[in-house]
Amino acid sequence: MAEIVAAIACGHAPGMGTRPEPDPAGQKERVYAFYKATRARLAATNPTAIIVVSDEHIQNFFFNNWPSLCIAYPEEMEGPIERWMPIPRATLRGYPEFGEYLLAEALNHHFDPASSQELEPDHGIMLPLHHLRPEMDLPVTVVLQNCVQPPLAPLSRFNEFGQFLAQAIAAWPRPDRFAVIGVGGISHWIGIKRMGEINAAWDRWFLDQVCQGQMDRILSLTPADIERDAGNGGEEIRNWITVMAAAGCRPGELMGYEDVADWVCGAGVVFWDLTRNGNGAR
Amino acid sequence: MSVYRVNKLLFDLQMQPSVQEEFKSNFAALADRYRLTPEEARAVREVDATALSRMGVQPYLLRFFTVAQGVSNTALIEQLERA
Repeated sequence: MAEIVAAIACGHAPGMGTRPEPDPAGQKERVYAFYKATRARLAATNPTAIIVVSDEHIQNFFFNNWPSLCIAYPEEMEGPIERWMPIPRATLRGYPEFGEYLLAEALNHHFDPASSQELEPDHGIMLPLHHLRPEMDLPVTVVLQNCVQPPLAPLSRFNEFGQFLAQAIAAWPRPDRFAVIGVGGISHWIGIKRMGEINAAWDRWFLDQVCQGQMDRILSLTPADIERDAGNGGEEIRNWITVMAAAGCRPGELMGYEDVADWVCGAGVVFWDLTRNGNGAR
Repeated sequence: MSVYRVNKLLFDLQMQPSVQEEFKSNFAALADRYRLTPEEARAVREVDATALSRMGVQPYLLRFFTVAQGVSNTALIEQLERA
């Protein structure tokens, strides 16, 4: 009965918060502008609830009990957890009834998620929300997918989960209008050799596949391809895959892309207006 | 597994005030409690990203450790190149 009215896939480079000083070429300004434009497009779809699909950056959980997939549905959550992230702290309302429903549905559909009723969302969740929904007014459910500590689940799993997410939302009996926001990427190397590199050509190729709904081409990427072309940070495309699948691999709109050297990360946003008549204000 | 203990220290250092305090005021006792080898203890105390990377410390934990310790991107990148 519920529907997905908007889907977004976007980066969450910490530099967006820690290094906002303008660069000479104006790239950062353009990034903030296209996040702001996406904020307006999101608002025009009138969502009633948000699902953020992110990856835990080893802030809440450690390797004594490390989830490959975790559905977090606290009553409320305050973030960002990182004390060095200078964006305003905010308290998000959770949506525990939906989160618990999603967990049960996942178990009934051959997924085995971990779950948590407590979370201090990290920059990966708070930075996008800070730019896309600074009002922090809508209830949020968080899905955490392991993208940072090998071994990682194969890309196909994230497509399957995205398809599942769409079905679960359709079967949710309240008339919610969900916005699904997948975060991370695009190419970046973190804490390893090649840190500082950005592969703009690969990022643009990847964005083309996302916007055209070419899931098969994305799923044919091998682990070696990602390691070579997108870095360990590029493993976060898993969250993009999930959102793309939840959006039914419909054509997406590229809101913008910049390879911001100072943020050591390619920054891009894709937006899907999934309202019935697909005419969220342009 | 030794690098697990280094990773654990870096994780605990992120959020636990008592560990942060001990890092500054009594590092030897901290290193002892986490059972670090002398080389691991040195690398953590000196924020030696080259050595920590070579040891196989988790890249994200390493990265956030250097951020919290005030190491610039440029300095970190240079240290990682030498790993």
